[in-house]
Amino acid sequence: MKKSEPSFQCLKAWVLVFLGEAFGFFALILFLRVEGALATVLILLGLGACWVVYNRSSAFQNRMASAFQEAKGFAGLLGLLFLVTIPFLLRDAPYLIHLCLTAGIYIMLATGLNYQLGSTNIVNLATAASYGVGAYASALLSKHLGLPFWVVIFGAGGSAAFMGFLLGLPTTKTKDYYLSLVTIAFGLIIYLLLNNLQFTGGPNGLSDIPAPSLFGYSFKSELHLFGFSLPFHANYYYLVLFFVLLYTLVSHRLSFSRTGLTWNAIREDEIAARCAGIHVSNYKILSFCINCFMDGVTGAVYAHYIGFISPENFQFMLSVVVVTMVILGGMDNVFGVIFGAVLLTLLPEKFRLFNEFRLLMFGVIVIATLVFRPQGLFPQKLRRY
Amino acid sequence: MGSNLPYLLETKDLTIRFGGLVAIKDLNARIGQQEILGLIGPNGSGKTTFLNLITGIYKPTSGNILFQGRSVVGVPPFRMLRKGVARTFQNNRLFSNLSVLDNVIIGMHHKQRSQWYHAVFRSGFARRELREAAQKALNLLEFFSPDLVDGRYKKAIELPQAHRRKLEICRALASDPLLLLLDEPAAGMDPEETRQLMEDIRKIQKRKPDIAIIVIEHDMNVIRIIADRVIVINHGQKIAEGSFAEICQEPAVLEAYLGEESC
Repeated sequence: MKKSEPSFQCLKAWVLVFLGEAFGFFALILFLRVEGALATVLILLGLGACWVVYNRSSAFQNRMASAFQEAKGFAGLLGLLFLVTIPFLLRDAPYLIHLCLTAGIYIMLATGLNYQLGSTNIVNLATAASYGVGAYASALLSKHLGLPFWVVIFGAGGSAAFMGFLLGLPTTKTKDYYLSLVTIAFGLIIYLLLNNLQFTGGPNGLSDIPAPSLFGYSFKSELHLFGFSLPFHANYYYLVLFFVLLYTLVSHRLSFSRTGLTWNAIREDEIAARCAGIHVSNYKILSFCINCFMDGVTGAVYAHYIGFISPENFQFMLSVVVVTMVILGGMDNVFGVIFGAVLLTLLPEKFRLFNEFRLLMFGVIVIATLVFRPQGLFPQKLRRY
Repeated sequence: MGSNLPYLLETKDLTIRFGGLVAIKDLNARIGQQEILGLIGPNGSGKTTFLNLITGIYKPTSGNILFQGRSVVGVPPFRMLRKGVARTFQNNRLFSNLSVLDNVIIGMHHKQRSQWYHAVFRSGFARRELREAAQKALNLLEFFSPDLVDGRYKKAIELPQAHRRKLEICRALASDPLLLLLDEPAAGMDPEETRQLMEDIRKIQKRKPDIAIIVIEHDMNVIRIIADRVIVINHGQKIAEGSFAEICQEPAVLEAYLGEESC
């Protein structure tokens, strides 16, 4: 079918993309800025209503999807612009930048876990372990060997990936719940090791982890850009943003490849996958390695941002939180996973009052999602060729 | 049947025990190239177990399986497929939440080369390979079933039963097998669908003349029309072998399975 007025079509797509992204951006800023539980609940209800409308109208969904497809470059640039301006808008509130940054770190963990939980249906509850191994490896490497951050992240990723490989070996023989139990046990082992080993500093952890620097510019200094002075958090915000974009790109590429397709096949039916010529164990171990590598790099970023790590940062609860993010957002839908990670990072912060009920909230979210919408808020899209 | 040709697959005294139960006992079977072998027997006689043994899902307790003259005992399923043994399952085992096209592309898994590092660092190559596979999959679907082409971006689970069977056969064919194993392809089909299925099986032979097929089937019409040779098993043992007309005369078969009115 030939389009009669291509330029008009194009303009329409641009406008749709702009409206969509601007909506998301302002919702995010509003959500960050809002104070008090009642206002938060109102915003949540508003977002929920938008989601229901979006979800009901498949025509609108298709329109949006095709608009983003048509104006791909524009959408990317505009989105990047919005994300870059966030620290400028929040420069008076470093804590809010810190929140965005934390959300970014959770996005990194969740996109990593998505390869397992979303693509391959391996319920890996050892995210905290690989994240912790990465954080500790990077801290030790930069403290004792004085290696720069940009080298250390590879060490962190590598050691976490090696841990993932070790974890993957026994799990090729186990399935389903048993596999999850293995990963829980593994997470506990790592936690206990971090707590009891000499060189990890025991329960006191490691402190004075040097801040990263880029061409002699330290990330601990205030950022001056276009006449604005931003708190030092902005440096890390941009660092995390860089990694989030990188992870998203990698996720996107992997899901539209033979590897992503093979993982999906294993998720859908392991025996059929085996009979279709797939070396299931290799692909399972691969998903462990890639997930853990990404967790390790994330841990390195976190350690160098916070400057102090202890075993308390890498407990089982963190794994549960990341699993919840993937389940709520949508299995194997990168956008959904990002949405879930942002939502579940900001939500507990806004309901600080009810902090004791945090665990309860995550439990309720997992149950509600699995009962009412097992595919998550944003289900996986079929591949188009 | 074609004694000058070497056998594609041969089992020698094949036996498998599950605890006290002997599911297959001393089974000697062979299938030549281009042959369609019908495998029949009452429920629980060990037909599917036989397929599971050939495809490497089960390991035999004793006996030998030769594929193209070489022993393949202990070879895992994914390697059996790479050697050229593809199968369908009694109750469809499709990748339910993936598209029809993706299901067929996965059948070509072993012919693709791109790895995860290609996807990450050389995504152009990975994408191109996947697109080429998609094109090939589409050609296969077109040849085999135009209905599936229209629904190629449907989830497999959304297809009606008869189409799911077809899709499963397409997925098996996508791997370019030398030996195709069909486990009750006509189960749950009405006569019209069954007729189409038989046509499809002829189409397979037309497209790949050197393919050999083993069909497990309860519908005697299917076996009578398409099978060159039939093996009857009962309680895991072979009780008769020959053309359909021949096995119909065997008293052991009549007694065990067919009953008088079927022949």
